[in-house]
Amino acid sequence: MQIILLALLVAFIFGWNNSSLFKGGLTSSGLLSYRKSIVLTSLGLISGALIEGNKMGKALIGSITESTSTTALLIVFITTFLMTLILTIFHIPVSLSHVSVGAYVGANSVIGLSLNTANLELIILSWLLVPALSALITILIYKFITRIAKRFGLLTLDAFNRVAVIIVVFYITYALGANNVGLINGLYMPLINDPILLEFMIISIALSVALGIIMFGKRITKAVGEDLIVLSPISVLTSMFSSALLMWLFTQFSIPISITQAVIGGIFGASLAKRRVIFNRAILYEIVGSWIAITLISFLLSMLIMKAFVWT
Amino acid sequence: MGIKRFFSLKRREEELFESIDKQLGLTIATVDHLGESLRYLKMLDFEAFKRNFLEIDYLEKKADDVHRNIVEGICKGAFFGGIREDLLNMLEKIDNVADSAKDSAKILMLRRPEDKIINYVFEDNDLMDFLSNCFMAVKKLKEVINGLEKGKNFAFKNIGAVEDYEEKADELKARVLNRIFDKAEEFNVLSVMQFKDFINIADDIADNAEDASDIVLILIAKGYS
Repeated sequence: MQIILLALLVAFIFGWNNSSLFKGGLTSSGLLSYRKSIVLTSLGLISGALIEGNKMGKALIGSITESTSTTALLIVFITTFLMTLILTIFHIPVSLSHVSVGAYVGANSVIGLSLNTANLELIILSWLLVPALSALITILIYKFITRIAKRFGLLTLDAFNRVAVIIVVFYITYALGANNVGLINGLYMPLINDPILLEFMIISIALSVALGIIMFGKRITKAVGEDLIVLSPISVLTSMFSSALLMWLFTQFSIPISITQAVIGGIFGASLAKRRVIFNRAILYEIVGSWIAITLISFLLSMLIMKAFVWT
Repeated sequence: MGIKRFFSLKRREEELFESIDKQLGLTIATVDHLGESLRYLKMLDFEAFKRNFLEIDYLEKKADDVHRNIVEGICKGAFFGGIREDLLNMLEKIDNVADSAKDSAKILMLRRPEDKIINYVFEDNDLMDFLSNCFMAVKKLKEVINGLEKGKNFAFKNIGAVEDYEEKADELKARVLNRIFDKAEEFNVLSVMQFKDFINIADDIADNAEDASDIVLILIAKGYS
């Protein structure tokens, strides 16, 4: 019960922290009303979690360790909850995959479970590759789109942008539902045997993320969008699309990745494709530094809480 | 989303673009009537000048109505959010063009300037040339906006032409003002002030046309055209 409650809370804060990435596109463009954009986001998250979320079921349990204990899972959720909450309060974009993996490794190493280092290395390698891959895919898509868009007049391009923003936002929320929401679900799934209850939980977790998006998220939007870089609509759309594509691809291999990393990589890809760009180096260093620090802190915090549990 | 709905994606925007073209047409007609008014003034036919002002006023009001409808359409969600603000700014500049034409004519309507200064001002063609450059700047602006579907190079060429007309209008404005103030003491002070204000406000026609064409550059920078 505590794990389920914590999973819902983690999902809510995760939605709060990452809301900008998938809601911002619609609301800032003013294309859809606030209510409609929320419906689209929720549908993307729920369908992603229901259709492909099960692929993340063995992203941690059965991949990094053969199995785990309920206490370790509880510690993973407590650590993830604390980390996401603190980072969100300080307006730092949080990577759920980094926090969860760090916490999972920390908790399980205390109870002495053997870790599959090959799989762990694969996840870490993926994290290193994601921004670069995202940048590369964005450059390719951007070049392709701009080549086609050159033939478009104002009205055609305008219609293209309006349709593309809906598709891209739905796709990115779908991929996020499959990968990150799937990751949360994968952690408590072994505890639920009833398939109907499990489906209910999957929908509840996705809705919890959606609720986080509805209620908060403005400051984080600024950190990722306006503060970091100045881009055109096509650049933003291509960087978001390549992030969604990458996240979806990694879901097929049950590898949890960070949407923030993918989007930031994509944004830099778009800026490289344009050759001329204004970007805020201080914010970039802050975000990249936070990725490393967040994983390490989650690992250490999880270890500490687990040790405290074991001693008591 | 149905196929029919997909193909009608541009319908609302196309209708608004037709309205923008209509607003531009009315704005051009307003500036054209200002030129006609000046021709009546040159002939010292102040009554015809006054009658023509009513036409200017009517056209400006019609342009205003069209402008309001377009703004409403944009505010209701037409066009991609990334360009809405730019389009609204551009429409405001176009609206300012018609306003300037009307306001400048209004200055000369306040009182009949003495015939002496009218004859002196129209001795050469500078004032008429100044106004025709303002008129041409607005005409070119219409081509720039209508040509947004024709690609960057077309837009750049015509934006350059708008700037050229604006610069020429500036030059002529300075020349006309210098001429008037060279002999200012020979005329009634109020008449001198009337012509000074008229020229300064009429100059806003070209200035606003240039500002609107600059906004087209912003649209191009955002990937449009």
